[in-house]
Amino acid sequence: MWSPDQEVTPTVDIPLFFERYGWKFETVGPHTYRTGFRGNHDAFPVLVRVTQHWVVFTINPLLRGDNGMGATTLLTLAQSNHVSNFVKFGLDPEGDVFLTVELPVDGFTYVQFSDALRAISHTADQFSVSLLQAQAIDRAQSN
Amino acid sequence: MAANSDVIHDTLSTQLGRYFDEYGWQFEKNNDTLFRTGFVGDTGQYDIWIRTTEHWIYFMIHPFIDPVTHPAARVEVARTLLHANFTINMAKFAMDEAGEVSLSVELPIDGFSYSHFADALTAISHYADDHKQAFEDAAAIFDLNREVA
Repeated sequence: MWSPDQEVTPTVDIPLFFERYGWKFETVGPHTYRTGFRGNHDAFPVLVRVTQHWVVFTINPLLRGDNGMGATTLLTLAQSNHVSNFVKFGLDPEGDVFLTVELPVDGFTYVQFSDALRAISHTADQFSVSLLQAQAIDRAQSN
Repeated sequence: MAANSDVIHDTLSTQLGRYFDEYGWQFEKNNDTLFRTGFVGDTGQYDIWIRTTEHWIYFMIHPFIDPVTHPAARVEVARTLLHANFTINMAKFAMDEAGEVSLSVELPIDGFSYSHFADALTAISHYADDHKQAFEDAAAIFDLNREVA
């Protein structure tokens, strides 16, 4: 059942899915795996973590928030959530932008695994330029 | 393909009716792909729309708060929304170009079961209640006529 607090238990064979998908990966912790890809604009590491209830795909940071986030960047991110499917943009406690896909462990299939990897990589590549532009606008306005 | 899609939606539509009954919530069926339900929480009354497509099922509260028109308040709401997205599972907050905020859960139809349905409704109602005040505070931050508690 859904719960805000989740414990980690092994339930899904992520290494098997990676092998089938044809992407290299490394195990970086209990039920946590790192992979990555090079898009048209940048290279992105992707973490895949399995919890008791969820399989979570994350790119963090998608964009660093070293000097805080300006208005243009914040609005671009909030609206990116509206126009994108399957993925979620947010800010972590350090102020960095993350991009994530969360799917239930219950019923998790290879098709969902491949859909999630495709969605997070496509979205990261698609939005990274507009986010960098938004950040540049904010920097210019603050100077 | 269209016929297959119709069959999928018909089956899912029937399933959703059963799921609502099992969950114990009343609902209204607008058509085979659109349902409405709702609840009264600690912070107000919410309508939840459930929409199905060929591959996805969406649970959505929209608008989550009144449209935010003040440009600076809109930025504060965006900031609140993005931080909230870090703290919640399964759901996400979003803002459209008009400054309207939504709270939604998106799940694949493939493998969709009653436990997913129940989790989605539980999550969206929990998060709506849990985050409403923070969003209203952010939206009202530049409202000079706001009463201070």
